Amino acid sequence: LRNYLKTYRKRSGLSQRELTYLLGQKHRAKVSRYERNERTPALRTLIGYETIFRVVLRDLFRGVFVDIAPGILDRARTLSRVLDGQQRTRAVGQKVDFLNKVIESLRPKP
Amino acid sequence: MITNTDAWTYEPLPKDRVLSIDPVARGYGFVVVEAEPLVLIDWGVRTCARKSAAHCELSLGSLIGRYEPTAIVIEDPSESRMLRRASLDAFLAGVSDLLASSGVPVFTYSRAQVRIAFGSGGIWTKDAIAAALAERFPEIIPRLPKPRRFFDSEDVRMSIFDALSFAVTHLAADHRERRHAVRR
Repeated sequence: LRNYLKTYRKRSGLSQRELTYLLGQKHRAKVSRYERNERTPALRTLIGYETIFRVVLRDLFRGVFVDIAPGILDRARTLSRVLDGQQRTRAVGQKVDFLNKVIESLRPKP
Repeated sequence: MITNTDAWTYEPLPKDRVLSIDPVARGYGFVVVEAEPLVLIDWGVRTCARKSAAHCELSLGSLIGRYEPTAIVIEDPSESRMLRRASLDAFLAGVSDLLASSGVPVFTYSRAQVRIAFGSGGIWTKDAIAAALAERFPEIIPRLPKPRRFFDSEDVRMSIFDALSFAVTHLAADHRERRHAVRR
């Protein structure tokens, strides 16, 4: 499932029309298309969703997040290895520490 | 700026997504549930039976297409009482092609299995099971009908709770207890 917009809307008890109003959209059809994954919301709308439901985007679009997370994890590991091979300055150390945190956090739970 | 890296920890997508349907005279109630953690994804009543037989198939097809369930759960017609069995059989006959072509395994459970699944908590009646489910899934409390009096016909919204009780029974069942429906 690419997104959980409908799940969160139904949990809130809001109708599509009411959510359309809250998001500042003109047409209810757009909200319906977002929920059916037929259209990707604009940045302002995405932030609107996050604000209204108080749920972070990666939970609202969990399918997308789970799609991209392994790629980010791979690239973070590669970049971390490359930086590890470089002369260890403070700037490099800061990057490696940061990347290690990203790697740790992106490891899926078993 | 990321301030709390713990918040980035994530779980992989759930392996089990169950579409449970409960046919009623007007159409069917349905729920979509994901396992581990148990989350209610979608629920509702689809009115289709009075429009045409194909309408129910179309409506169910859109649910299957949208949620791509790993299992479909329905009440076992062979274990039901006569009138209920007839209505379940009629519904299944109308959607059998769709279920066969979808390739999603169909599991059936009897009311007795549902009662056993919930019975450990001293919950036996449909109303009590529905109330327990509403407590577990507060998002469906607004859909919970009042307890039925003996002279009332059943509220159509009860089909959501029936479908949910079958989904929960399926997820609680051991793999050996899960029974594939015979494809018609």
